[in-house]
Amino acid sequence: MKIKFAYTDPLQLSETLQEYGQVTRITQLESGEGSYSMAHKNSSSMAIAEISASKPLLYEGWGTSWSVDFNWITPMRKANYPFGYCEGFSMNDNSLGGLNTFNSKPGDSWGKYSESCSSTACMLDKKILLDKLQECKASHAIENLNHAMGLAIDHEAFSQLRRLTRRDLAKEISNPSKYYDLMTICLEEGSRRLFKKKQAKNQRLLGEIVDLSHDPYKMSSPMSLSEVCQHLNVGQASLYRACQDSFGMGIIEMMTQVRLEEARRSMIYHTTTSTCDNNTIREIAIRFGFKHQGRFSRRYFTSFGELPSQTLKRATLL
Amino acid sequence: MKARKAKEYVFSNLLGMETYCKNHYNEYYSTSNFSCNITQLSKGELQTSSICAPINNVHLEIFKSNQTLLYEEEANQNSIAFCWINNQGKKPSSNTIISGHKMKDLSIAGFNRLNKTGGNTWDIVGANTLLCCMSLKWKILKEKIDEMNAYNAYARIEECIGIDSKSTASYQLKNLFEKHFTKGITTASGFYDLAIATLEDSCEQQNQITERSDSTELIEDLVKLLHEDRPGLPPLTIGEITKYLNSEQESVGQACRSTFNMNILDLIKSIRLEQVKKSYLNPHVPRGLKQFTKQHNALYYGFKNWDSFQRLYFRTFLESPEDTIDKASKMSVLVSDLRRGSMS
Repeated sequence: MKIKFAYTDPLQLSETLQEYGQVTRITQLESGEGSYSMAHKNSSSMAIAEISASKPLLYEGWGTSWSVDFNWITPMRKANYPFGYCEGFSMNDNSLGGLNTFNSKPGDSWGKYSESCSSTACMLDKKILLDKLQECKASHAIENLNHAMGLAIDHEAFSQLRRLTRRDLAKEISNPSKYYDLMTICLEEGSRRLFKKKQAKNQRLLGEIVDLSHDPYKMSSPMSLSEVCQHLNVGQASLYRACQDSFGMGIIEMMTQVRLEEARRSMIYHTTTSTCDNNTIREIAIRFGFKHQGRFSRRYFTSFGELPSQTLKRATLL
Repeated sequence: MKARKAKEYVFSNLLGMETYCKNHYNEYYSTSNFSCNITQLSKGELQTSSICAPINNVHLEIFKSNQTLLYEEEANQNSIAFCWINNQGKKPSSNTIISGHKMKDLSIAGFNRLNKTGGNTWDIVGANTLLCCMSLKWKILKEKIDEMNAYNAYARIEECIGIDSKSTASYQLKNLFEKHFTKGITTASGFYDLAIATLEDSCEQQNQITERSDSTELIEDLVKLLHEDRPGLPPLTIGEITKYLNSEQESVGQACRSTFNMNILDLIKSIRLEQVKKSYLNPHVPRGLKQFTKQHNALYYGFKNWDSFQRLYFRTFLESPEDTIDKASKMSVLVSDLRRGSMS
């Protein structure tokens, strides 16, 4: 039986992922109380994790110095394509994403997954993988790893890799080298999607939106729509199209949601170091760009189904 | 399919109107938890009229009051409002402001009723001004925006409180609204399409726009704060208010004067006076008990001197607290069905 850990807060998912070197900030992109579960296993040279959530989640800051973080999704119910985005690469049931973590800086990647699928991360050691690919003379795979964002894979090896991951999440990782073998075939056999110039531009834009939304220096004084357009050098219609298509909401709402999630994180961490009071909520609200505590509390309640004071109280009890 | 009959609701006190709004809105958006606060800002006896003619997924209303009113409600995630005034060529006796947008003949405002950043919404409805309000369901509007790729309209909804629009779509929208009240429209799609076109077109023209900003949020928060009940606690002082708003007394005072044309103390007094009046009108408290506690009610809302409170009360409502308590037991709402064509 697969052991799944049930969580009540995306922060707890972040904390578990931190054990694997992933310093990722997770934002729930839909209002209301969410539930999340995660199964994970690791061995000396790799780790696997599967996450499912009742609400769409945005992961920012994905990627470590030691691993390539491959990603795929498993549909759980019928839904509109795509099920998510891995660094702007739209994810379907035969997609393998996260290839860019081979070359990108740690924490530079992002992903967004819908509630209609689970997302699986397979973290393989960069050096071991590259040695393996060179040993097998898998030149196509090396090319893909260096230049593709994601691949479409219809080869049996991808199904085997999925089955193996499912089995190992239920037991233990018995044979890490098998992952490297199967991933080598997947990378060699996978085909790249051809993107039009506009789509490639859109992928870059999405990455920039995620970066800007999480920029700590911009949070205390939120940008207006025209400032955002100017900063990203994009027209407002294009910006809204990209945001609505990929995140299901407008840019201002999305940035507000990220700030709220950051404020929530800050409150939960704050209680572990000091006592909480009204001033704490006020200071945190101001730090994350909510000038009036009442407004902050109302918006917070809409998003998380509880008041900031309740979060603080709950965190203290925990 | 025949259009439903329009109904006119006439109120002579604001507690009745608030209760009606709450019930009416809850019926329209079955899952919402709606509440609002209304305060009379001018002096004199009150009479309001609200003509409602909803159709499926669109709520349409024409509102008029003989006094200037301040209306406050919590923003929500269900609906978006499009409001405009219809002065029928006459110069209004006082200003109407919808959420910070000063209303002129070409203005359409109220988009920030939709909760994007956690605010509330407020309006000043000028005395004897005809206010036309159309309320659309956000879920449907958003789907239509996606279908039409009308992303400029989406941007307007997120950034903007009101616009002054000369676009053909805005004229058509106002005409359709009028046509509904005279002839009866049975389908909602025209209202949705024209609302989107109005927002979309406004991006291509030179328009007067009020965007959300620190100053609009300051007034929103001030209005909300002044209406908040503080069970068991004394009313907020001006110093506490500025602290809560993370602002300076000077800035709050200036914002208050330019918006409400009164200083902050007078605004506070008006709101609290109305709250005392509503406590006297409460139909769930026996008349005798209200008479017995009338001074305590005034004290609870910060009026420490009963004599000066009575004078202020009479100057504002042209009746004494006792008159209000007596009237409360005879409170009634005048509801009448209206024939199409008789409403313009």
